[in-house]
Amino acid sequence: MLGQKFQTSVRNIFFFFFFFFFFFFFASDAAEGFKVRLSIKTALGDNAYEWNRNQRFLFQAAIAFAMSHHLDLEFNVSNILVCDETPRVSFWFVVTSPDDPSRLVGKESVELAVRASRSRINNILLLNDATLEFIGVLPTLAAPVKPATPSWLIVFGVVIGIIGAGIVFLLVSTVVQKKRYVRTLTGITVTMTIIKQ
Amino acid sequence: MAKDARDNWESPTQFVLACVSYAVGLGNVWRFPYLCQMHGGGGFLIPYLLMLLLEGVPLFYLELAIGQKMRLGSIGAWTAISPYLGGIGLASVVTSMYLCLYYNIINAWSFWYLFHSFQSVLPWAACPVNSNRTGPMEECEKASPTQYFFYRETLNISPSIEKNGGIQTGQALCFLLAWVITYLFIIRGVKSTGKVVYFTATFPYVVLFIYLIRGMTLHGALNGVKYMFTPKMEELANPTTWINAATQIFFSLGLGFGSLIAFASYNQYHNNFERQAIIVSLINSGTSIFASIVTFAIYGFKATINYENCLDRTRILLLNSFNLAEDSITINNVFEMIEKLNTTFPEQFAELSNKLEDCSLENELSTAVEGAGLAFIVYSEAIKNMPLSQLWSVLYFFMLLMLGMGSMLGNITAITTPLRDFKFLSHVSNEIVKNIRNRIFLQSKYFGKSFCVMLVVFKGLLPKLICTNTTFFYNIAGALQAKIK
Repeated sequence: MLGQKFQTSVRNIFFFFFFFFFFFFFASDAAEGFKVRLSIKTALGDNAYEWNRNQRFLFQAAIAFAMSHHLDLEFNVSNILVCDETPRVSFWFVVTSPDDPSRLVGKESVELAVRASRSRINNILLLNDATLEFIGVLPTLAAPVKPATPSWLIVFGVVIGIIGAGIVFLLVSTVVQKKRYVRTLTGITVTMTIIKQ
Repeated sequence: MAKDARDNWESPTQFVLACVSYAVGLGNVWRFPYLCQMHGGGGFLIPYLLMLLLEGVPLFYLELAIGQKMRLGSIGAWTAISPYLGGIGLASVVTSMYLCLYYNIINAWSFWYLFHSFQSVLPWAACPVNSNRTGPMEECEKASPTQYFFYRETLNISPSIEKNGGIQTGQALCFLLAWVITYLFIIRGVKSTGKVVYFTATFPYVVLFIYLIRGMTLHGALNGVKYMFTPKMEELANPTTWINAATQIFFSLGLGFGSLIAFASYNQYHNNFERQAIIVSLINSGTSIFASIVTFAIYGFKATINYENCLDRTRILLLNSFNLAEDSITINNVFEMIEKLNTTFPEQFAELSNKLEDCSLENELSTAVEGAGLAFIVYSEAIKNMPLSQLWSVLYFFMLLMLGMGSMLGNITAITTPLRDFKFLSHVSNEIVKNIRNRIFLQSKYFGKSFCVMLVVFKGLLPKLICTNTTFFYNIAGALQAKIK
């Protein structure tokens, strides 16, 4: 009987310390972690997948890829810790260093890594910048495509060319008509003088 | 060449179409729907039609009579009635000159928008990205993409009328084009104008009809049309309603600017202008009402879209703050969920009460806009939400262009006709006169939007004085007409 009570109390102390360290470990989450929010149904509608353990694994793998790609170290899925999941599908995550699992990677490096591979991460999860939100990380938008000549200038050039041609044509035709009229008039006057004589 | 032989319209149809083209202008599209909304919807038609009967048709008839019988421009015609009245003619020519100066700027804006419609993504559909590429430009985010495109990318408006923003090359080019086209249309006098009005008078109706069908099939369009036609009869007690109705008839028919006298002076002497006057006035008012149905369908669509976007933003805010599953709140039950969450989590709800927007369809519908704001901002906002927006955009701005060009023809003819009547100027070739006059007008590219607004507001004063004088001399003109007949 004593053994059983002793066992329970030891177990309780063990759990206490475990949760203490667990809590302590994740109390610094706010400083080094990022909150992520997914809007799967908004993005995919009827094709929306359910958020479960496998999808989370895929997310962890994507972040591990981003970190490895940015820092040139070998990150594993186990280095990406996810917690505090809600039905919204939002959660916090932290990244531990591959050399020392008890040490967290700094927030700035994580942010830079995510920004660098953002489009890749979006595509892996079939989402976009609006539906996969990393709270606090600014998106990198695609550079605007600037053609050599603005398209409106081309249309403008065509229209003003046609109008200019029209005006020139009309002016020239007026001049030609006047010349022809003068010529016929002189012709008539000459003929009249000849007939009179 | 005989100096007495006056140019004539090739047929009475050309004359009627020219008058319709002149009268049916931008005011029918962007002023009348606004007045309708401001002064009680369907009820506004009562003062409007009354004023049409009392001042619109009689003055229109008077101007056509003077022009046709005197066969001279406004200065000559008024001087022929009485030498002391020549000032009225001169004043109307000066007013037309002011009008020409700023009216073509609006055509330049239409050209700008028309040319920018030939892109895969309309430039006013989304905000441009800022220099860091982290998000949209700050200025654009605070306003809206359509407003940003109009005030920043089109006009590059300066903070106030005192500050000179310099010449915008894009606008200057479009303005040059507008004047070049106007020159092309009037280069041969009524011979060229007469051919052009076949198109400028009829094309806007084609587009309006297409837009009516498109507008009525849009989501939420009926909200707008219902809102417009519900009359608020108490507005009729407000004297401003009657004043605005009178002013609108006056401006819409283009009375007192000398254009109608000029057009009528090219008529055959025994043309039946009585019937034509009534036809044109009725067509003009009919077009106003028709255009306002289209505008209100578009308003309804835009208001519904904005309302639904507001609801969506509220829904996202609630989902994010309370971490609920995505499909627990839909657009339809946003208000019920607000109630429920308020009762279940009062403190948390109180925290986001300042971020919560007040979504109301009534408020969206009651934001009435007129003028350039309606034509270039509200309409382009509605167009960007339509499928195949490039097509609708091209159609719409081409229609605005035709409406504007048609009115410009009238204004220019009001100036050139009296000038031609002066004997010393008729020696100079028509084309050269018009060319010189165009060059002078091109200088008005220094005017910006603020000047435009100012001129629009004040241009009415001169014709209003003419109006009082003409009605006083109406009887004299009537007697003269009887004598001439």
